[in-house]
Amino acid sequence: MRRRRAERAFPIPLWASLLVGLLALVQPAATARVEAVGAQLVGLPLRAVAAFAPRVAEGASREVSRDAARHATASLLARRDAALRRRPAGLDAALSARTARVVERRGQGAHGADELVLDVRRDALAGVEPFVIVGDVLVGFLADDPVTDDDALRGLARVALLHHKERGRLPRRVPCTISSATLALLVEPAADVDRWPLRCVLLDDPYRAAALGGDGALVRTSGLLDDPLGPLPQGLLLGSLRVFGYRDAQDRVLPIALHVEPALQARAIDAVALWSRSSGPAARRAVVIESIEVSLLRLPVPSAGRERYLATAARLVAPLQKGAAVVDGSRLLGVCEDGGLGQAVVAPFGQPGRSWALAFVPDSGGAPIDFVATSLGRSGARVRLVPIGVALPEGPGDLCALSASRDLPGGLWIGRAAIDVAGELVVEHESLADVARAGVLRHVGVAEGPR
Amino acid sequence: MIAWLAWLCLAPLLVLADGFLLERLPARLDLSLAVVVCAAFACRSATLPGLLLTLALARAALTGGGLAAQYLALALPVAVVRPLRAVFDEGSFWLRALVAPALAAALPALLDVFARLGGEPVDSLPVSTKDLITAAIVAPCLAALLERTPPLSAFALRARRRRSKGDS
Repeated sequence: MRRRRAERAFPIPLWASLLVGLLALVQPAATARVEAVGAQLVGLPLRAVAAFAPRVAEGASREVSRDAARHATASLLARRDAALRRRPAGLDAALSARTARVVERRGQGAHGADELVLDVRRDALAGVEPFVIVGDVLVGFLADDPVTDDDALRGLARVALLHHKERGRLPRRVPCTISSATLALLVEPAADVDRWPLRCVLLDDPYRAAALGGDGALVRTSGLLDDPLGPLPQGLLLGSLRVFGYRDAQDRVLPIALHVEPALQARAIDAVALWSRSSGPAARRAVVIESIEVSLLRLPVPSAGRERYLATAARLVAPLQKGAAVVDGSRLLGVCEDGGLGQAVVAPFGQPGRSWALAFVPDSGGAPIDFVATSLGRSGARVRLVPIGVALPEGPGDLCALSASRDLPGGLWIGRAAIDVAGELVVEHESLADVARAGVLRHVGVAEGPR
Repeated sequence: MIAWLAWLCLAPLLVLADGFLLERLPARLDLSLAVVVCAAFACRSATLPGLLLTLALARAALTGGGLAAQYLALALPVAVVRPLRAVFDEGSFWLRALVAPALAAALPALLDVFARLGGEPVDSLPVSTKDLITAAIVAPCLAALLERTPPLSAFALRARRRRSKGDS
């Protein structure tokens, strides 16, 4: 009797499951499969509900916005290509540019993704110089070996970013100079505990380094001759100097360590330029993407400022992936919050708190501006975003998404956008409630052989 | 088994019903809260993990936050409140009416904490005084209703007592 009372007051199965829950909270990968299967199971009744829901009638304005999306995407790609092909000052005139788009970012270290997978086969890049740049910014080095650990991306070229570290291999050190102090040094990947992803070592004059006034100075490649790790052009930008140290009463900084904050975050790199001495045939896109047609149904969810839609494909087992783009032509409507067979829950673009890697293509001309922004939420057909660490030009332009995963390629048009007086970016983006049918993008594989 | 399948089908619909009612009613009728009250006071111990896990799956799929965070946010209050059954009359409306507002305040706060720890922050709805009063009145009634209707009635202590009475 006493045992039964204790069991009533202290439910052992529940407390045991709480322990498992805590473990799952700190190791989400361990329960990801269970979560995916569970989401699929609980999605089945929703699918049944969707079959009986009334359909939204789509207006003729959809065709107009599809045209606008096609035009904006083409404009973005052409202007980005032109910007990438612009030769930095220190580069040999005999080199010619090839551009490649980023398919996926890899690495979950303390400093974020440290590897890019390019939308081009590695064997199509024979004779290409190892350094990889965006504008005049050095972002990393082309890896000798292609992707081998993932069947879906096998054979694609990889770029090791400057802070990439690989067990058993020496890190790629880059000889640099700091413009403000004419100080020569080497830049290498920082430790995981460091605040910034790159650190400065082997300073040529430690006394001058100790007297550095502050941070923010630009760090550029010095282009040393006979670099044992391979030649590197002079004057390529790595990022800004960051000083970690003590600050005294006179506001002078006594450095403990010098770091470099890269000029570009991995998330904001959508395409890169590769340089080779032979012009050769242009490397074509290797990744094959298909669009799975789905119908959308709005789900009323009890969550602040959030909207959710159920996407159901006509084919019962069509694989919809988590993070895949939901599109109408080349216009981005939203993202699949979870994946499943034949169904997925979709979050429209502009959900509050969500961070996006975006490209702003100003109407006034010039290169697209890549940046990261956080969404403040939607009000009607307008989404407000706060750009992080970038000053966007005034005047209207087109806003496009940068690639976020293999199923969300870059260049998808989001809408017309402009900076308002508060410095926020206001985007015209049609609500998903007015859309009945859409497509969910899915990466199918890599085209065989060099093309 | 049929009861479990029925609960699997019902749980996402309950979450959607929550959202549907939230959009249309001035006060919040939280059905998930009613399920938690029902689980804390009326359901058998052995059924609690499965019951709450199914609801957590539905909430994670529809409102985000991750399965582990949703489960912990639902199960921890149940585990804390459950010992009250040994002290008070478990069927008491007043006990449930006292506990329901506390749970109504605790569920979103716990979800915020666990979701943040799990790296998938959610925007929980703010809980107003009106919501707490509504929870105190409505949640015990809804919990009593859920306890008596399938599929949750199959997991209730009442069902086991009925069965054992029938055997004797």
